Amino acid sequence: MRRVNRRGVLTRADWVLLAAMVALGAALLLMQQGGGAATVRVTGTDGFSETFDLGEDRTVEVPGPLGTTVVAVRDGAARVISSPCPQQICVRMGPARRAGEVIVCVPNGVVVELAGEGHGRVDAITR
Amino acid sequence: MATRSLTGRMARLAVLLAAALVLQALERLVPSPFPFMRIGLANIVTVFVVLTSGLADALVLTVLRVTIGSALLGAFLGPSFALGLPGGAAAAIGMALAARLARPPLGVVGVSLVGALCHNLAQLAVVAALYTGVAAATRLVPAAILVSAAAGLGTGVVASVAIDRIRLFAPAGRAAEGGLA
Repeated sequence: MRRVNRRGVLTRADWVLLAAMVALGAALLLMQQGGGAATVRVTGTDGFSETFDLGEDRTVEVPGPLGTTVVAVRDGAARVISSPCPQQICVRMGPARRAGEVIVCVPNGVVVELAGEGHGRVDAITR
Repeated sequence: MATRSLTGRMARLAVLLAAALVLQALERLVPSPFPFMRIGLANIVTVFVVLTSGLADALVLTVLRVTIGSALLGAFLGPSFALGLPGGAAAAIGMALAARLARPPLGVVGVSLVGALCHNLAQLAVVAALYTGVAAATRLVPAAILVSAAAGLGTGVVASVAIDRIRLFAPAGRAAEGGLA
């Protein structure tokens, strides 16, 4: 004689509960996706400072002691696309898209900061 | 459902506690993005105890597991203790309620899912109260629900198999209750 619950480990209600949890979690996750950064502030030396919307694509040329640093905003992300500095760290940092993220070019005195609602991401966790 | 003798109950709980502690120690080896979001391997034992001997034993086991476990792993009264105790207790209570109120439709896995959800949400509530505030913790709710779904499914399946197979400590007469067609 076969045992009743041998058809499968999960009952139909188990599947429904599981699906509901996955759907609820995914839906809430999608709702949160809008909360990225909203604005970029680009500062250079000699008081250069401009703030603009992350939603609009544009390219900004920032003058500095070494030459011109080019910052591009594209598809909701900001990145340094070219810089006269020797090590190119700012270029290699790649795109920044979340509130609180910062790209810095120390030699040329350029800072790209993303701002928006929320506190940004956690830096690190230790335990 | 309770075992007949106090000695039997103690022996049974001691073996299960040992198993829970081993699982908890094993879980330390698995990396996790957040310290308060764990697979909850030890919850396998909690599911087992809730369904085979009830809430009281499950709560005793949870308190002992978290206390002894954090002492052994060097985190007594630290963050993982502050999170583990309410999380474990919430899971045990949630599963006992689910087992009592909704067990005919729900199976072992369903009860385990409820437990995982209670565990993670209770821990997030503690995180919000003690460390990050409500706003930051709210952002983690979707992740907590998804992690619960995966963890609850995994632990539930294992617990289901364990409940089917492990009869060594089950009170006499439970075998018949398993449901012959």
